[in-house]
Amino acid sequence: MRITKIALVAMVVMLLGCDTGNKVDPVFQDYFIKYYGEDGNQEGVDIYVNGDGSMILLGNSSSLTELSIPFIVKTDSLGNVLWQHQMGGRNEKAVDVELIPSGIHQGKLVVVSNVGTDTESKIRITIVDQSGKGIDSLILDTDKWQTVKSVTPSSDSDFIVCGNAAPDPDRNAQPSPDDHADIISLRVDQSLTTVDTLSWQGGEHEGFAVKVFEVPLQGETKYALFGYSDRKKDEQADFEDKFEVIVVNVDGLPSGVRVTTGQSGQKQKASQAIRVPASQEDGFFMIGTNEDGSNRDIFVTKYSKDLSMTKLAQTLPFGGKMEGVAVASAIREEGYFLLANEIQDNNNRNIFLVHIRLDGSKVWSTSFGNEDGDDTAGAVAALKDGRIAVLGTIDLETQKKMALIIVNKNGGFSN
Amino acid sequence: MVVEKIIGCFLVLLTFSAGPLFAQDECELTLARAQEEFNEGHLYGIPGLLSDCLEKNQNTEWRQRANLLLAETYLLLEDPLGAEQSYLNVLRANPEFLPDQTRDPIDLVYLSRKFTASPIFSFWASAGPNVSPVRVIHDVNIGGEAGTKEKYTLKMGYHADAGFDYHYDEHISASVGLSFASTVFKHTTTNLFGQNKDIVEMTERQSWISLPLSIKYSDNAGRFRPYGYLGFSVRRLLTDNVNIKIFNRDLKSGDEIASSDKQSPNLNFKDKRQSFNEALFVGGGVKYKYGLNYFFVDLRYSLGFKNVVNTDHRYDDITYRWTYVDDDFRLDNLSISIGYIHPFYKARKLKHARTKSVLRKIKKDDNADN
Repeated sequence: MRITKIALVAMVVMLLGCDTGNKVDPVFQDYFIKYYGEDGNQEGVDIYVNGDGSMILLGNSSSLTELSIPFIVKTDSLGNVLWQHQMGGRNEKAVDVELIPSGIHQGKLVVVSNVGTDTESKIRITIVDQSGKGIDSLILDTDKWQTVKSVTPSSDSDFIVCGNAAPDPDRNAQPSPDDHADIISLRVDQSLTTVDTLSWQGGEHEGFAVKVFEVPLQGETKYALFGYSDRKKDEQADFEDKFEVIVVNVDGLPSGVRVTTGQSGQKQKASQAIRVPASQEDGFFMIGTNEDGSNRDIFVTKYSKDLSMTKLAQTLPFGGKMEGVAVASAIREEGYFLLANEIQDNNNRNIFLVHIRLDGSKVWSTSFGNEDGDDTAGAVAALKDGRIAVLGTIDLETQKKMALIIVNKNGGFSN
Repeated sequence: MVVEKIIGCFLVLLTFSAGPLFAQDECELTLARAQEEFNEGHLYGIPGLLSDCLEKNQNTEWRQRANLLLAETYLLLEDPLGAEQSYLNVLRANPEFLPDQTRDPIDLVYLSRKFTASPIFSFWASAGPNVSPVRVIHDVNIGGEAGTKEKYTLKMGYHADAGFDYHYDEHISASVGLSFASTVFKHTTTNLFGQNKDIVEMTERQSWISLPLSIKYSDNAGRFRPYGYLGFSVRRLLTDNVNIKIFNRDLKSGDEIASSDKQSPNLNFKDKRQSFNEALFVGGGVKYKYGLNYFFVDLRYSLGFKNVVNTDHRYDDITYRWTYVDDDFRLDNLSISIGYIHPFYKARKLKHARTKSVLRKIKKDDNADN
């Protein structure tokens, strides 16, 4: 009897120690990797996080039957698909998605994409509602090629798109005949009926505007074009790619403000610029790549709110070859999350995420991907609860898929 | 000359092989003479008569009979120490000997109740096939779509066990063992990236070594003896190899599906698993008595207690190549074994003699005589 009692007690104690759904923390709901896609390959390029935690994932799909077509997914905060579909047309690549905060399309999404090949590329702007339904779209009419990098909804509910275009000889007397591109910024009204040139920058062989922000300067609203160009800094300088911010007036005329950062003898090419919240010292932050021969490193510049001062403006060497791709301001922590492509010895890439403080010093870094696959970074977003969302492309054994990676504030997958 | 040598060798062999037979016959005659002496009441000479044969005769059946005769003799000579020693020798010759209450003298029956030869320990060994049902704690998907389906399929493994039973009494025993098990199961993901699209098959082969502890209740009579037990085991993962097959199914044209398939090499999943786990098990079977030993057939179900997955390593290089992510799960095990039990019989005097029933019988017989 005594043995039976002991055995029963032991059994109850053991059963209480059994792992059950209530006892095993569902950490995978908070931190995870999920793949999204359909037939063929899907790449992830941009992410927008709604106020309710749902996420818009933008990418492009290619398959046995389609060359390239934009692919958009909406997920809940756990990464479960709410809807997903292709959008746009064949041979089209989406690059940016933003929420429309005001105007007739308030609460909807605006997506910009490049339609056609490089020499025939045109810009398409598309409005999609939060249920995935296409509302309207417009391919910007042009005689020569134009490419878009981003879209910014303006305070008057228009859309400012920016990128570059085939060089206009009238604006590029100096760099000819090796002129490759002019920086452009276009304004599209909210009903997608009129398109105006906000700014057309000449004087460079190559360049790209990666983002336009409205900035209050000298008592009026102006537009700051963030990007890079090889425009000469002064008469003595060479044509060499540098981070560049050009501020234009509402009518597109130069405001006289132009900020160039970068290291002489090397190239600095920008890939994304963001507005920095007041909690992180306000202003703007731009990330890109410093090219020094075959070396590649992340290059960043932090601009003050009125663009009068720059901070950091430096190469951040984290070891190995890095291509700076995207940045997000931290919400719960100090500093920024930088996303880059980490180039392996075999030229395959991994996704590299690093948290830096406001002074540029590293807090931690981590990599996603396998050296046997070419895994590429798309976008990064800081979530309100401190987690970090990374969108990229993972080169799986048989296909490429859009990947949403959610990690904790230290870049890991555990509590 | 040669023929003579052969005949000589044959005679020598015959002499050596026949020697024990002659001795046996001689001891049989001696025992028969001792039995006659016993029957005629000439008790004092019996121990001396048998002593030579007891020293040299190794035949257990003869020794049982001789020692039994000696025990009865000592009882009549009122030499309890001699009787007890002789009865112990009976049990050493035949651990399962029990006097027949209807045939043997009651004082011998009474004496027998002071002794036992039941085993304190038994050695057992067994082997057989097993299957490992997976019980999912949390379903974790690699794809974001709700239409993605997952299932686990049983695959056959094998196991081999050995251990010892400690017999608390004739029915209850405690068992400790060492078990090696190879377990296999398969996880299949379907409808990945669309209805009727990609399929991912993951087959996992684990080897475990475990230490099972159990309490067993057994029937102790008959040729077939059923038993049941309940126990707990601690197990350690030794190896864990996984093979993943991907069927990448894309629409080619119309309804035609093109499948690009890939199979992984053996992937080591040991880092992705918890090294130690625990299980509660319940089982039962039937022992078949064969001589003094047993064969048995056993059925056991083990309930895995802990999450097998090391959640810190859920996402790693394998996730980035092979479109697979682990659920949180417990691993059960259903096994069938065929085994052998060798009891270590030990003849000994009981601390608490079980003589009450005999005394009751004696009183009953006395009352009947009166």
